[in-house]
Amino acid sequence: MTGLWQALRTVRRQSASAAVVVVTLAVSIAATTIIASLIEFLVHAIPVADPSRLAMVSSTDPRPSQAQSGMSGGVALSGTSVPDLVDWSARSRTIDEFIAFRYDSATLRENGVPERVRVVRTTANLPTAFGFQPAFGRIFRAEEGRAGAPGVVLVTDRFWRRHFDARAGVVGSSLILDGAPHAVAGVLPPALSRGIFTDVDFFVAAPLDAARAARDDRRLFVFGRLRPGATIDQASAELSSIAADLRRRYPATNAQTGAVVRPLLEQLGGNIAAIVGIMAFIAALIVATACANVSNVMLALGAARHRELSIRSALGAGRLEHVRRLMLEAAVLAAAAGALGILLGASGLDAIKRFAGPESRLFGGTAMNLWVLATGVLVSFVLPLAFGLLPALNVSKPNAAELKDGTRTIHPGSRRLRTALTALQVGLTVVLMVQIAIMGRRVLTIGTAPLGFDPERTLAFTLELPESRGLDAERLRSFERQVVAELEALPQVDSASLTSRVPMGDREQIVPVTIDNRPAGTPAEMPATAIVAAGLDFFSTLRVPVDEGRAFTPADAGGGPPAVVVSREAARRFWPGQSAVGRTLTVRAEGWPATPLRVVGVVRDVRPADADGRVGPQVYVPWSWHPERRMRFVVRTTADDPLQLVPAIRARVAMIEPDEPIFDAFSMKQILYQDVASEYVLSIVFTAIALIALAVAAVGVYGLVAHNVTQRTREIGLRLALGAAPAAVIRMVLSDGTRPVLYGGVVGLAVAVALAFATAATFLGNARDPIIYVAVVLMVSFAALAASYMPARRASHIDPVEALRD
Amino acid sequence: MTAPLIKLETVKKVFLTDEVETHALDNINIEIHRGEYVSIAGPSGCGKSTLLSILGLLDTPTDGTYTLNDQAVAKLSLAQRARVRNREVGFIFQSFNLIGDLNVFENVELPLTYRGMRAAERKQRVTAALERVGMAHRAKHLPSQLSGGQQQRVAVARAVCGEPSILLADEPTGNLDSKNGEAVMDLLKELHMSGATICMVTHDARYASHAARTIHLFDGRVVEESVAAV
Repeated sequence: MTGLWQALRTVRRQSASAAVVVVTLAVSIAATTIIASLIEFLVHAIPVADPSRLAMVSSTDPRPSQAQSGMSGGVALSGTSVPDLVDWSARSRTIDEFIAFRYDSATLRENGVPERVRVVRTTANLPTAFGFQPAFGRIFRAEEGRAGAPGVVLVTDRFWRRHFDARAGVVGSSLILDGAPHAVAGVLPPALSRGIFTDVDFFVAAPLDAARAARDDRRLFVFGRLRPGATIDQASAELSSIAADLRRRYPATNAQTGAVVRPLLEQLGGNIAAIVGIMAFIAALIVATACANVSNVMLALGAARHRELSIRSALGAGRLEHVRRLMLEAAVLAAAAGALGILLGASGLDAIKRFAGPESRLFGGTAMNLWVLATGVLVSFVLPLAFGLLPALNVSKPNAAELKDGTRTIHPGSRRLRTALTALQVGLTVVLMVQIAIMGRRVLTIGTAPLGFDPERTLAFTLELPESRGLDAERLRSFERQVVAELEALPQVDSASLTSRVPMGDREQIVPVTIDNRPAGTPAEMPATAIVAAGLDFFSTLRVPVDEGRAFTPADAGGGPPAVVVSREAARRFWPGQSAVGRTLTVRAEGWPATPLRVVGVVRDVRPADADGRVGPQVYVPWSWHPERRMRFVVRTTADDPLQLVPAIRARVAMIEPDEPIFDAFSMKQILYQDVASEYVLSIVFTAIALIALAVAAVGVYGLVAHNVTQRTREIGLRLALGAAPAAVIRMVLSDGTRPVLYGGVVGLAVAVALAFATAATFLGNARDPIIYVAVVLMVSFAALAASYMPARRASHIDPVEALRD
Repeated sequence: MTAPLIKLETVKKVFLTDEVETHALDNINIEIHRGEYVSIAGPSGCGKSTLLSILGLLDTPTDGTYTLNDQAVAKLSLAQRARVRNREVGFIFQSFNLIGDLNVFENVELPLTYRGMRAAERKQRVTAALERVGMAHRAKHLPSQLSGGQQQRVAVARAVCGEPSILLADEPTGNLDSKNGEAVMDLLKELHMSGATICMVTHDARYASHAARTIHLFDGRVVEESVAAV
C-alpha cells in the first residue's frame, strides 16, 4: 500500500509527463476497442450458436457484377436458385442438410392499413440449424416449410417492440402478409436482430418449389451442415462437380455457374478473414506505436531519476526493488489510461454510429459489449509490461558514478535506446499510414468514378403488385402509365419513369445474347450483357446522355417493333469500330422473347453497384415490352431534398393502388452512398486513427528532442559560448530528431511496400500508386520536422551563462 | 600608447527578476591592453562572474559601452556576438566543461568547426595546441578517462587553438587540488609569456598574485586596482 501511495505521489509530481503517457495510451486503447468492436461484430454477424459444422455454400459466376457475397479467388459468390439448390440437395453426400433463405419484402395489412415490411423467406430448418431459441413461443416445425402448408412467421424482437409495443399475446395471433393469413409462432430474441438480420421484421417459412422457380433466378443465400467426417474442401469439390453437370444439362441458364463451399464467415465476403486479420494487425500497430512512445517518455523520466535511484542503491535497494517501483508507477498510469481509453472508445463508437447513420449494417450493429470491454481491460494490463519493463530495466542499473560530479552531459546508452524507440514509432506509423492510405485511395477511386447519370434531386421507390392479382402485360402497362402521369402531375416533379433495375441500387441481371446474324455457338460462348427494362423517359429522368441515335419514343412503348438502346461499352464490345445504331441483338434467356431487337440509340455507360468502377455492356429494352409486377420508379424533382416528396407520392399512388404501399424510397444520393457506405466510414475511421498515430509519433519525436535538449543544456550553452551561431545549434538539435525519423522511415517504408503488395488483393487496392508512398513520407517528415523545430529553437536561445553556472 | 584591447566605459548591469531589480554592476570603467595579465578579485556576489560574462560577450550591459579590438560590441545581435566570441575570446571554466561524448581532439577542435575552417588546417591547429599543453598523446581519449588536471589542460588547449585576442578564465583552479592548480597556473603563465592576453577571475589570493594587475570589485563597483609587486 505504501508502494502504491508513493507511486501515486511520483506520478502526481511528474504530472505533465504523466498526462502525455495517459493520453497517448488512452487514445490507443480507444482506437483498439473501436476496432475490437468492429471485429467482434463481423465475427458474430452470422448469429449461429454453434458454427462448427456449418459452412457457406454459394453459386459462383466469373462476372463481378453478379457478386452477392463478394469475391473469392477471383470469382463472384453469387446467389443460388431454387432448382440448383434442389439438385444439390438430392445429390450431395458430404452435406447433411441445406439451409436457404432470401431477403424480400411483403405487405402487412392490419386494420385495413397496408405497411411494407422486410422479411426473410427461409427453409423451416434455419432456426434449428442456427440454434435460435425463441424468446416466446416456438420455432418452425419441419412440415411448415412444405408447399401448401399454412403460413407461419417468426417475429423479430425489433419489429415486436416497434409495431406491437412489446405486447404479450402476439404469439398465436394471425397476420395478413401479402393478402394471406400467417400465424405468429414465436418472437425471436434481440441477439438475432443484428449482423445479417439487422433490419429484418419477420422470418417466413417458405417452401422450395423448384417447379415454379426459374433456374437463373439466383437470390438464395445457402448454408450447409457438413456430414460428420466431411471437410469443407471435400464438400466444395463435390458441389463443384455437381455444378459442372448442371452446366451441361442446362446451358441456357447455367453456362457460367459453378459452386463452392467456404467457411461460414465468408458469407460476409470472400476476403473477410483477411480483412479481420488486417484490422487486428492495425490495432496491434497502434498499440505498439503508443507503447514505443510511452517507453520513450518513461526512459526520459527514468534518466532524470538516475541520481535518485543511485542514492537508493547506495542505501541498500536492490535492482528488483527499483524495477518493482517503476512497474508500479507504470501500472498506475496504465490503469488511468485504460479507464479513459474505454470511455473514449465508447464515445468514439457512438459518434461513428451516428455519422454512419442508422441504415449502416456494419456500424449499426457494433457495440461496446463485454468482449470488447475485456479486450480494452486486457490491453490496459498488458501495456505496463510492454512499455514499463524496458525503461525499468534500463534505468535500474546501478551506477555509483552518478553520485560524483562528472563531465558527462548525457547517458549515451539511454539516448541510443530512446532513438531506437522513436525510430520504431516512426516506422510503425509509416506502415500504418500506407495501409490506410491504400484503403482510402480505393474508396476515393470508387467514389469519384463517373456515374453515367445525374443523382441530384432524384429519388427512387418500389411498388410491387401481388401475383395473385393475375395482372396481364396490358394491365401492367396501363397501371404504369397511370402512376407516371400522377407522379408528373405533382408539384416539384420534373419527370418520372420506371425501370427494372435502379442504377447502383440493384444488382444487374445478366443474360446471354446473339448479335446480328452471327452464329450463336454454345451458351457458354454467347456474349452476355446486363439487361434493364426502362420506361419511356428513363434516360431523361436520370439524365443519362444519349451519345448516338435516340432514346425511347412513345412508338417504342406501344408494344410495336421492338427497339433497344445500348451502352457505349456494349456498342464497343459487340460492334467494335462500327456504329451500333441499326444493328440487332436477340436475348437468349429463359422468360425473354427471342425477338431480334433493333438498336436505336447508344447511351453513356452507367456504373453498376459493387463493380469498383468496372463497367460491362448494358442493354435497355422498353419496359412496356417486358413489364414486371415489381416496379422501380425514378422521379426527378426540383426539391433540394427529394425525399420531402415521399408523403405526397405515397398518397398519390395510394389513390391508384390502395392495397400496396410504396416502399424502399431512397434518394439516388443515398443509394450512391450505401454502395460504398461501410468502406467510406471505415476509411474515415482508419484515416483518423492514422492521423492520431502520426500525432503520437510526432509527440514522440518532440519528446525525444526536447529531452535531449534538456539533457544537453550545459553542452549547448558551452557550444554557444564557444561561438556556435544559433542556426548551428538549431541544425544540431534538428538532426537529433531527423535521425530516428530517417532510420524508422526507411525501414517502415520497406515493410509498408511489402505489406501493401501482400494485402492489395484483399482490399482491391493499388499498391503500385507512388503518390501514396510519397504522400506518407512527406507527411511523416513534415510532422517530425515540425515536432523537432520547437525544442531546437528553444535550444538556440539557451542562455550560456545560466547553462554553464556551477 | 596603443589603444586598449578591451575598454569598458560606464558599464552597468541590472537584472530584473519578478519586478525586483538587482544591480550586479555599476559604473564599471576598465581597460585591458594587449599582452596584459589581469585578475578580477572580490568576495562572493560582488559581480565578478557577471563582469566576465560581459567581457566574454555571453551577456550584454544594461548601459555603457564595450569596445573589443576596436569594435563596439555592446549592442551586437545574438549571432554577431557568437561570431565575435568565437574569434576573439577563449574561455577556460572552473568545471572544465568538456563534452563527454567527444574525445580530446574533437573537444579542442570544436570552436574551429564554427569558423568553417578546412579540416587540414583544423587538424594542424589542434595538434599544435595539444602539444603546447602536453596532451597530444591523449587525443583519442574521452574526458572521463582523464584526471581533473588533464581535463583542464585540454580546456586550455581548446581556448588557445583559435588564437583568440583574449583568454578569459573563470576560477580555472576551483575544481583542482593544489598540485594540479599550480600546474594550470604555470601553463597560463607560459601562455602569457608567449604573448597571450589573460583576464582571470579568482578569489584565491595566491593565484591572483600571478597576474600583473588586479581589479578589485565590491558590490558591483571597482573599488581598487592594484599592481603586483615585481
